[in-house]
Amino acid sequence: MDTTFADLLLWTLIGAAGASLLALVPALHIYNVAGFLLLLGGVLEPVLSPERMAFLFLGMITGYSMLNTIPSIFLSVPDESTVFMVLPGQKYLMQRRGYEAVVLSGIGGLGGLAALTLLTPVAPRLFPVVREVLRPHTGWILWTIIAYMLISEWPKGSGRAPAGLRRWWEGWKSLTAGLVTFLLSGLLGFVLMYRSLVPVQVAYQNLLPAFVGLFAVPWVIQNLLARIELPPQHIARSVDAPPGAIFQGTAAGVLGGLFAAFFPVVTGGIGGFLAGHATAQRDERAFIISQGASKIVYYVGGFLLFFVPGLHLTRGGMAWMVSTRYSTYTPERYYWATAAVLLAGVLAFFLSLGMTRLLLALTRRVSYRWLSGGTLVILLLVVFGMTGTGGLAICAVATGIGSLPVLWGSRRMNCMGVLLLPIALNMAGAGSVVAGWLGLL
Amino acid sequence: MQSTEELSETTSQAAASALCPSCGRFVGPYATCPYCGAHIAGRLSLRMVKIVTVLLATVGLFALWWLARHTEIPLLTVVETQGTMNMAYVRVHGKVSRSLTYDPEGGYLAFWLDDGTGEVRIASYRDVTQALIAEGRVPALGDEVEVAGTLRIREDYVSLTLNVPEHLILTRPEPIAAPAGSLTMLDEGLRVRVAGEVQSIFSPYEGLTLITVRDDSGEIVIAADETLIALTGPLPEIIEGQGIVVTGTVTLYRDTPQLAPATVRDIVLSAAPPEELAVVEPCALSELSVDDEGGWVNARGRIVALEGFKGGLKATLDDGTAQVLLVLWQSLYAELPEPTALDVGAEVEVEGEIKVYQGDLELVPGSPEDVRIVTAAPELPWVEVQALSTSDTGRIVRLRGVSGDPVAFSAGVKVPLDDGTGTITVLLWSNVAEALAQPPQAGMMLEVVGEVAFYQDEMELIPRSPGDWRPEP
Repeated sequence: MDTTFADLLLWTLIGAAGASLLALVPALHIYNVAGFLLLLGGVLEPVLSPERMAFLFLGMITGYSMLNTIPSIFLSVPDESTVFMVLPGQKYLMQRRGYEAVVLSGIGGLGGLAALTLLTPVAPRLFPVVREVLRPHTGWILWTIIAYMLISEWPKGSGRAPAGLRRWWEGWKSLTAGLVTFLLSGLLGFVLMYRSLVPVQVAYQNLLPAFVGLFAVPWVIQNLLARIELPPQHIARSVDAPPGAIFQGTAAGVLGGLFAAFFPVVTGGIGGFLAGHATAQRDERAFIISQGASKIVYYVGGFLLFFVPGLHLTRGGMAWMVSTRYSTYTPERYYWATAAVLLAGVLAFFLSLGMTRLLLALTRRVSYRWLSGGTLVILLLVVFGMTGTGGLAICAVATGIGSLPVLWGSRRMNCMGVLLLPIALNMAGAGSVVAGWLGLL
Repeated sequence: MQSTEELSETTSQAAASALCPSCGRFVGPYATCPYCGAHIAGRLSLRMVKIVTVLLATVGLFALWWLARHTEIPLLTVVETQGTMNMAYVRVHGKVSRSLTYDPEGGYLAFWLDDGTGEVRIASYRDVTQALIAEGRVPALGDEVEVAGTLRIREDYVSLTLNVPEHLILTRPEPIAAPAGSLTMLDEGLRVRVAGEVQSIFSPYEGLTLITVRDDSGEIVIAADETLIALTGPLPEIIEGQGIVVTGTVTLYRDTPQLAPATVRDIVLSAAPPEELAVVEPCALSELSVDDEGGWVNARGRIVALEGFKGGLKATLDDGTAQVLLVLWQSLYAELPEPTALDVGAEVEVEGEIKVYQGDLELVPGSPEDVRIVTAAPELPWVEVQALSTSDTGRIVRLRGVSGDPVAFSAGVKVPLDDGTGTITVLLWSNVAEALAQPPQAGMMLEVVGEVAFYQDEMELIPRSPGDWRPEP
């Protein structure tokens, strides 16, 4: 089978274009689609060799990570990497600037791709060293991230409640909700890790119902309950993004995305959040740009690590899926992969503009409440279709946990306890002890 | 900044729901109209939402946990695994099929499990490995193991990461007592107990110790590698001739059975041989056949031919009824009390294992004690170089003279020997030359025994063993 660069590039672009369309379907993570293709691997083999599939997946992840901003902003359906995008995105949406938010995120994405391209010549030498340096420190770094997440949230409240317990509660209820959310999602993570109700045949989707429940469903329910109406959107021909904000946002996003891509468990959202704090980011425009850059670097960069010769690092669901059928060792393929990603990213950026217009046209014709209701139905159908009744049960419980920060005003990032708590405890050697206490062994 | 604004004309339902349906006045978030007292339908109590949320998050999680506790971890076979099962928490059941890999510094332990449909690589890391070692539950070759962990499907193999020490259930089969000489390739994977005497201890390279154990039926090699020692402790001090009982799994090394103990505690030593080995009665060589391969026999006869080969000597033993080849490995030959006494014409009694090599029967003694020289070979008469001619090709002769400058070549060393009547080239093949106690040098007074040969019209004397090179003091 021919494996010229042009051939592989074509498959990458097909992947990017396909994923750009599919990214608009709420909750349909590109991993679901990739898993489906993997199941059909034997049937598709005559056309889709393992290498072509790897490059198709590369295009898909690039297209998806560029365009998943659109449902996050317009339908409030984030995944674990876009959860921080929703709030500023909705703010822009209510200011009729949803389109502009998508463009800002896309600019960040392009910046992220540029950074990944610039890193290409040094990656094979740099990343193996960084990996070796970080490897023994992963455990405590993860606990530091958790500690930072939890203690960087300050007491809220007006301070006008009667003195005593009520005033304390007014200030601390959001913090308490945050801690409870982290703890409950962590317990949910233990259940999923040791005795998941998701059928073993689709184990690669083990976290899908939890993520949909924790991040997507609460937003949609909130939209439905609050009876939010989408104001008419303005399609601008320019974007409010001074070079300074672009540079600052991209730099912070790349930093956070790289951290998330390289470091296990940390997602693009957390990476972007940490990098935003590290660079003292206050500008909303820069924040959206940074989130765009972070998720591109997290998703695409994480998958590109799979192609880095000599690194042997499998990060992210896509890399794990591809690793079952394909492995690559040559610098040539790594350069091809980076070039293909760059072109696919540019294509996806332009597609994101068109797709946003398409979605806006839809929102003009269909009530936002109906759209939210439809989204909720699609979310549940995807969860049920992929993971069955067990997945729906997990999704329901995760929705309850994911709604706590919505109702008590704490950070939604605490829901990442679903991954952070069990893995951090495992790294500390206490995971099995806690699982034993929970009777899960 | 130029812009295009597109305005939609949708009616705000949110605004409509904020009006009292009875009096039409603005009521905002009130559930009862403050003007006319009408109940505002369709509003959902926030308190109710909070209660439902908390119940879902807590009671729901409790129910999920309860369900999970009563859900069995799925048992898979290797052939059932597929790419979409990556990261599944599953069980596999099988037999440890290959030697373990262990990195003491990183705490990484890995072994292969064969469940009859394929192999899966089981891996554990630092804490889990340490727990397994501390609890003495490190699997070994041939053990039945059920293990639960995170499945990882790779392009070329399937692996499972053990996250919890308790999720490894080990069943070690009870050993069956077996004579050392009875074990064959067909016994691969069988766990046996062999009792005998330590015949030799050999370390072919650092990290591997081979202990040869012999009993009345034959011998078998016990392989103790560095992984075994790192995981289960140092080997006890073992002395040749000591009684030993070893429990282990039969493995194959180049089709030859050997035993792999699960722990060093499976090697039990006694101060002396457990019992006097039964005296093996001499047998007639004509009674031996290929069916006796692996058996331990005693034979007595005369050496009628002796030739060297890479690694030792082959003597032809003739007892009047038949001939067999007596294989004397270099290490054994060198340890004989009088190696030179074992030559053509010597009468010997030998105990050894019957082996078949390229269709020929061979008798292979295991130790120097297995070779008893009843009558030493008669001393060969002196010959002079000038007396030798092409008609002596193949004859074993003894010469005495002074060596010249040795000349090395790719396969050994050539040394000229001058006995006053002429000069002959002594050809020392590298296996002989390397084993010499005194390497050749010019001016040595020597006695050399060897086979006469001619190469490109030049006469050569080829010693068969280091014993044929006898420097005089």
